[in-house]
Amino acid sequence: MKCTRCKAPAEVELRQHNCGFCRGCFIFYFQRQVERAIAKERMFSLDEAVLVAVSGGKDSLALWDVLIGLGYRTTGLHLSLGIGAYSDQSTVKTKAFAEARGLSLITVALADDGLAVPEIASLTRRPACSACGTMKRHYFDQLAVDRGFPVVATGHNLDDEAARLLGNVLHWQMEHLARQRPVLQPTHDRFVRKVKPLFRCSEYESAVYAFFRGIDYIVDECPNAAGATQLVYKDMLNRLEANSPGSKLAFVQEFLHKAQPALTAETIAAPQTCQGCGMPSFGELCGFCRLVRETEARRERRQAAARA
Amino acid sequence: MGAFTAWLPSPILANPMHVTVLPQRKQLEITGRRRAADVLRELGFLPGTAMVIRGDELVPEGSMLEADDVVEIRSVISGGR
Repeated sequence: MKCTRCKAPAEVELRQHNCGFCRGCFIFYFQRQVERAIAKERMFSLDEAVLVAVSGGKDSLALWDVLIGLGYRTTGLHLSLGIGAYSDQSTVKTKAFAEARGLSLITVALADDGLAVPEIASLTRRPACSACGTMKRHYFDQLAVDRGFPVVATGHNLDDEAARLLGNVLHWQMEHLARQRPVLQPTHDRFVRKVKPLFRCSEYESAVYAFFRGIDYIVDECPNAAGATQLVYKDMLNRLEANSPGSKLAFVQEFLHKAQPALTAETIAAPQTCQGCGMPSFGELCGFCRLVRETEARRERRQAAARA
Repeated sequence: MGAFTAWLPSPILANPMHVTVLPQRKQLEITGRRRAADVLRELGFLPGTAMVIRGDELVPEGSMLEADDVVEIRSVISGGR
């Protein structure tokens, strides 16, 4: 196969677009996809400081790499989740990426706040991924607001969005569907804009970009991800994609064009202010504070039982 | 017959293809040249869910892998929840 752009031998084939690219043209293509998504969805401008949530995985590091190349003002935010060697390695890779490029990086270790994900999951008996999601949402919002960033960019890709859409549709989660957009505007003064510049790029494309750019990302999968529902949805969608290339892109794109505007018109209750931390909340306490209080209560009970 | 087969590439005598599957770190050997897509299928990967890497180059799924290649199959699927 020849490169669709320059006719050199192709190093990557993209079945969903029925095209192939050599290394240089693929890098150009990927960067253009991200650039167009940012411009078309009005995610942020060159004047704005962007907080990039970086896990050490292929998507977030690829995103950060593209944003730097496009000239955006970025700072990385890495949460060390406390998931043993996996988190240690993720932090090492993220720091190495930032140091090699002279980038500004904020690192927060959840264990320092007594909130390592495995401990919270064990104490509250919640799925680790659920606890992890609550932590990430809270820290991303709080750090962005406290440090004056108007926007947080995450590395969610097309496959993430398609899997999330499938899950939301299977359960007809109307409020979740109404919020599933590449740009989420703040609905509270302690929320910031959240954007997903990779929402049109497949997981394969971001992995290829990271490989071509020589980005040393963590290849290992999170040990808590085994059996996660999102992976089941991804597998189903990839089976569909194998038979009908372009299905994932059409699923997400058509949802955003045709269904999402109607859903957005649905009234979503505006968040209140959490009595615990002052962040937005849909009850007296936000999900993060409820989780923290439950963790502390169970930790005390466990310690009391150990002393008895 | 014996003299004739000595001229043919023998799957038994040839070096096998060395394959490392990531992130599982699984090592295996495959005999004979074949398309990258076929290797992926034999290992249970759907199209577009893993990269086939030979040295520092990415091998398109439609391209051939030689019998004595050393390749890495790196899954691109990640996620939780």
